[in-house]
Amino acid sequence: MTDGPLIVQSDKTLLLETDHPLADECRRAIAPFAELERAPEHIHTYRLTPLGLWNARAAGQDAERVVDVLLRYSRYPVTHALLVDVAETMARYGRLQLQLDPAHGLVLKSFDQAVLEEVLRSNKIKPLVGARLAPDTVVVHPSERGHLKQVLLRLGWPAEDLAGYVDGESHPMALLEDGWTLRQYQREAAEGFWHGGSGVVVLPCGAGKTLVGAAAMAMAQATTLILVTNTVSARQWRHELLARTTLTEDEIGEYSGNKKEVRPVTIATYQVMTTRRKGVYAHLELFDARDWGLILYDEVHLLPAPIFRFTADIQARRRLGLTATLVREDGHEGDVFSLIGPKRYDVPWKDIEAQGWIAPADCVEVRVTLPESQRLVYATAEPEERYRLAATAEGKTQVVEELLEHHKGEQTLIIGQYLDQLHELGDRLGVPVITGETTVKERERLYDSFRTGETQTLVVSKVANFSIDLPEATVAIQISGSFGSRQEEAQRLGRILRPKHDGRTARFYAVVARDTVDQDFAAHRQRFLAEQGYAYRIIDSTDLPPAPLAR
Amino acid sequence: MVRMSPSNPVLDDPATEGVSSTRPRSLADELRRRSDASLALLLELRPDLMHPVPADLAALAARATTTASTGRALDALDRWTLQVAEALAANPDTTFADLCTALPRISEDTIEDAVARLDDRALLWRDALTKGKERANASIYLTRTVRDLLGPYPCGLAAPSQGRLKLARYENKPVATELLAAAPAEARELLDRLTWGPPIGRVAAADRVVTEETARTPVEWLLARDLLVADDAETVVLPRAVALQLRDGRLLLQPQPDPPPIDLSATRDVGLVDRAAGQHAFVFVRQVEDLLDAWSVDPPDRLKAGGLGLRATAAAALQIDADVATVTLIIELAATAGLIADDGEVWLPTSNYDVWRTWTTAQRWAHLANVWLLTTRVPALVGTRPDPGTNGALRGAAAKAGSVINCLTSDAGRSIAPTVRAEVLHLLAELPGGGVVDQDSLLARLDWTTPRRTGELRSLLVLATCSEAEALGVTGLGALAATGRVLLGLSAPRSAPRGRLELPLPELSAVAEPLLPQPVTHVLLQADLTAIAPGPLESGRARRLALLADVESTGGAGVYRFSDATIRRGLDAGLSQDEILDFLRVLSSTGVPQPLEYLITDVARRHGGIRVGLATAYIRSDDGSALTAICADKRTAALRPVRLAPTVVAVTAPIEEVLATLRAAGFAPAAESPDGAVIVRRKDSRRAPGVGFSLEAPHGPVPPSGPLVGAAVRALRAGEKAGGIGNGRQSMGSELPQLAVDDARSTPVLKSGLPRSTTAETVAALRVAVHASMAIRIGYADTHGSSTERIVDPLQLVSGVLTAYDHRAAEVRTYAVTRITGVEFIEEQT
Repeated sequence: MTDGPLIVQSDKTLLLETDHPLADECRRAIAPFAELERAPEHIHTYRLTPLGLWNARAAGQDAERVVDVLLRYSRYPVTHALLVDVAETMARYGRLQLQLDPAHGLVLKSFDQAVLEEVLRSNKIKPLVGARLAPDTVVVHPSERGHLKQVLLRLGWPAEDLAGYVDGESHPMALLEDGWTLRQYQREAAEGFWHGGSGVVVLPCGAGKTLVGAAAMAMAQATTLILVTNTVSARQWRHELLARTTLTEDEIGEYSGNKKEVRPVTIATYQVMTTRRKGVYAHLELFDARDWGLILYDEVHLLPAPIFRFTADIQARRRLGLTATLVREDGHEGDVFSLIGPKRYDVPWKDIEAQGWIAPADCVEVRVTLPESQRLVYATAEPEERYRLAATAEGKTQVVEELLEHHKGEQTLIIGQYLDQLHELGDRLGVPVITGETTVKERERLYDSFRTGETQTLVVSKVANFSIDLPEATVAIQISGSFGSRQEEAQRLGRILRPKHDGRTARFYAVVARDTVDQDFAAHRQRFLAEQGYAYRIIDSTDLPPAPLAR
Repeated sequence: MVRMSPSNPVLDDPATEGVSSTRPRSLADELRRRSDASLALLLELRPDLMHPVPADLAALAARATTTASTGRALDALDRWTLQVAEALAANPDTTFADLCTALPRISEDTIEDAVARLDDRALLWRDALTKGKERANASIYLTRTVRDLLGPYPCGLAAPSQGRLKLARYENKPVATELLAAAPAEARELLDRLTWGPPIGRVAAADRVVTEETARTPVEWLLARDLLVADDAETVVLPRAVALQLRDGRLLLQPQPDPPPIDLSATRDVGLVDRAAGQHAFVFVRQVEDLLDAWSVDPPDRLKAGGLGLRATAAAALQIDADVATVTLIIELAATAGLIADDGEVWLPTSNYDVWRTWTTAQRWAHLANVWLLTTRVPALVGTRPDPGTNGALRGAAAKAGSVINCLTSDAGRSIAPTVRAEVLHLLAELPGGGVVDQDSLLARLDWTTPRRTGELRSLLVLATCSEAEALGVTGLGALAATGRVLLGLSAPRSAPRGRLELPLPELSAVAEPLLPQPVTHVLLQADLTAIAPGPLESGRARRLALLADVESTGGAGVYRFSDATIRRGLDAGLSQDEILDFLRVLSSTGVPQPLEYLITDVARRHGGIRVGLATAYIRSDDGSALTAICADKRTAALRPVRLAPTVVAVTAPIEEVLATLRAAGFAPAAESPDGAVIVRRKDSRRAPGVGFSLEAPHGPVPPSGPLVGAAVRALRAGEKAGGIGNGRQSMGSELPQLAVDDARSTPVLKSGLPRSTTAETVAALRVAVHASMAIRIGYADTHGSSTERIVDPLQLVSGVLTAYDHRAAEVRTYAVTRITGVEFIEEQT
């Protein structure tokens, strides 16, 4: 008891000592209700949040179990106040329930009349509900199911949605496991989602989220709408589904800027869904085009606001969100919880890496010292110009050249934010450049050539952030990023994390200009990596390892 | 105030004096029959009777029957004893046997226990020399004061006299049950309402004349049959006989001889409870240190009206990462424990704090816990508005201003607090080990134990005690810990000494020692620039680490985060890059991660690019060679000259010293405008000149120790002997503050001790002294009855007030002649 692996802090963070013999057991026990915040090398930090505790309640855990786990694994006595707080927070979930009443349709039922009175008094709730049927029951407009859940969550009384789902149009399909099998965590993730009805699965990039989606589809056996970030990603989903399931070409439709196919399985891009014509979202009707049995959201952390709004209206359909991180730079995690659903599965990157499903990565920050003249320009520049100046510093080109020389023969991606810089670099190195302007056809050609190893180096803009399937890129060099975006860093790292056939360690270089905002932003991004367990080194550009002698 | 009544004469009738009677005629008489042990018990149970020690037993009896003292004694009684007292008040001069009859279905022993408790406290007396069966027939006399305090309707019954004449129509036979049965429903309802008291109701024209024929209303129906009688023009009263009839002769509706049980809301593992308490104790002491260290450098302002503002309290809470309730407790305890004091402007740690800091954590905790047990401070009142009805709340500034109570003001003190606190802890100690009390049942039990103290303040104190005990580590997880039991068991908790701290209570710190979490000496450094101490970090290392990194979270472990700002802070504090790295290498059990090492070197590289130095004077000259000479000269080495530029040398010596040294070395310097000198002020630890709050006396006098009680009893006996039993000569109110009173009254002036003289002598002596302008020594009683000696030069004596120059206070003061205990002339020393 006195030697438990867990330390409970007064600010409701839980510190888990990873080297402890009970660490793994403890991690499994606390994962359902605590959010993993940081996972650096020795001590992982989890946080008890209302959302996390409600997630646990949604998954059928009660406060007693949570308290028991805390007491069992805690090294030091847990304060009474914290235990009481946990119990009270968890008791808030499910006091209100959304149910289907045979006579009146969707109703909000309460087990605590005082709570119902409190929420009904809120001005935000009033327009969402109808007549009061009984002291503990009030009619809910079916169209407001999502909004109501959103508002109730903000009021601190999250409703348990027991109104069920429509089965949707049946469409049989199965996984085609010939020569491969679903990995254990993928299976657990899909099952976790299916038992919960709706929700989000959090898996690192490269961990095979597409297959989790396919497994979920095989469980639903129904028509499916898949929402992805862009066309390239759509093509990859299509490719993967054809290869791994019984679905045929004719059953999968693409709904994008070019094609408008609506088939039993339809893959649409966020972009086309949010395209407005004369102020109207013309394509949102796709949601109603068929009686979908499952709606899949790829990269749910990027879900644009209009889709959120529309998702609120389709609460009767099963929804699965896939993402590498629940961190939203806009802080709308609560909306994901109430509209898509609670988190159903989560596993730290490092665990998957340890299982060998993603490649280990070595992260290096290379600091470039600006020459005196540039420092002077930088120091006197307008604040909004500073980042661009620092990010596109000339010295970086030389560093990239040195790194390329060092990693000669390895598949290398050079990722950047500023197009001028990328084009200049491409010209100088004689390497193809892929930006948003590159046609899809050209893009795919270049990717193919990169895949076969014909092209060894690509310069890509931020189009590379999402859903491009680049096999065997073993080195990534980031020369500029969009400020301090943490999820961008995660995505970029994900580009190189697919397992290498020779078990080689992936390299991730970030080239930053010393003593500038570039360095500050890099620090912000790297903190995220370090918290994910990716230790990084910092070296000076002058200390770069010399290029291999054979040149 | 002494109440005397014919039925309870304090002074004996001389006629019966010396006659050995089985019947004590008065309380004083009864007290004289008591054994020494019994007298000692009385003084222990009612310690206020000893302050000061009465001259003799008659005086003791008089003091024991004052309203104030009797009220205090009643306040400490449980519900059952009070119920028995009420039963006795309802039946004055009853016998024990009658009392038992009036309280059916209750064992005689239970009743006897209650009577004995009242007897021990001299709230009643009974016929003496009764044993065995006789004892049952002995009369019991409740003192008049007790009866007065229990109100006009004890047990909800009217006095026997009320309506007795009218009821004579029933010829003292019980009122016919048939008559009561025949009462109309509304009349019956009225009777039911009055049956268990209070037996009076207000009615217009209560004394109207009604007969059975003219009766129209239910009241008239009852009045006509004398089941209700008019007490005065507006009041009707239910005669006692009728009420007893309606009650089937019972005195009490619900006799409660047994205390209600205390329920447990949970039971925790005892070991876990102790560890939790140890953890809390450790954190509490650490928080006190953190706060006071912060205040050493940056003390909070004292409010003009005294105390500490709410904003400063909230800021303190932020500073040590605690909630406001905890920080208020910390501040109040620190003040009471003598660790902080105000210097008129700010609150600062005292020099006692430095002494306290040298102790072990367990000793530090023991000191705080002991002070907590005894203090009258109620931190829970801070931030509330004083209740104007609360007795005692009117004295403070907040009450006058009608504003919120501030920390460290007199508004946040309640004299009853230590009593309630001890009561709560004693009840917790009765629970089985690890039992967590259900607070409602705790309050219910206290309502039984001391029903006369029930009220909002008590509830607040009880709940505050529970939460404070938890914060302090007296309880853990809601159950009393081993530390709490020892704290309670301390026979006579020492009050905090004034001025100097003494190492407290070895038994308490000994039990706390093994429960405190053992400090860890190493931390885990991680690549995300955090350091985690998997337990309380050893104090010195914690302090240095807190300099180099921000504390991110506290609790069981400490989480620290490094950033360039925190590293810079370390460098600013004078640590070098290597010192920081060495410290971290020693501290870390996992090595220093490369990013952290890089961060430190990177910050150190930039640190000091711009230099600011400390110089108290500079030497400037256009003649560079002169400056070179100065720098090279051995005689000026003490000035520590630093050549900043070819024409400027900075020195770290005061300007006068620089001038003198240069002149001595043969140079001819001229002073420049003093504005040119750079003066750097550094914030430093400060200390208040005072010694801190002294521990206020807990409610009522401190429970006296055995020897003191023994001495008091001996003094009383001596007083009896000196005064002669039954000698009415001695004055009732004469208060003799000293224990050594043997010859006090026979010697008007004592060389040793305080001067004593009669009032007449005093006035005469004062007149002489005023006339002759002679210095005199006087004894002067303060409002609490204790006397001090003053040496004064009398100036005038007007209408009972002496104006005189006080030598010790060195100022002119006024003295009420009534409070001057005696006068003694001082030989002029010329």
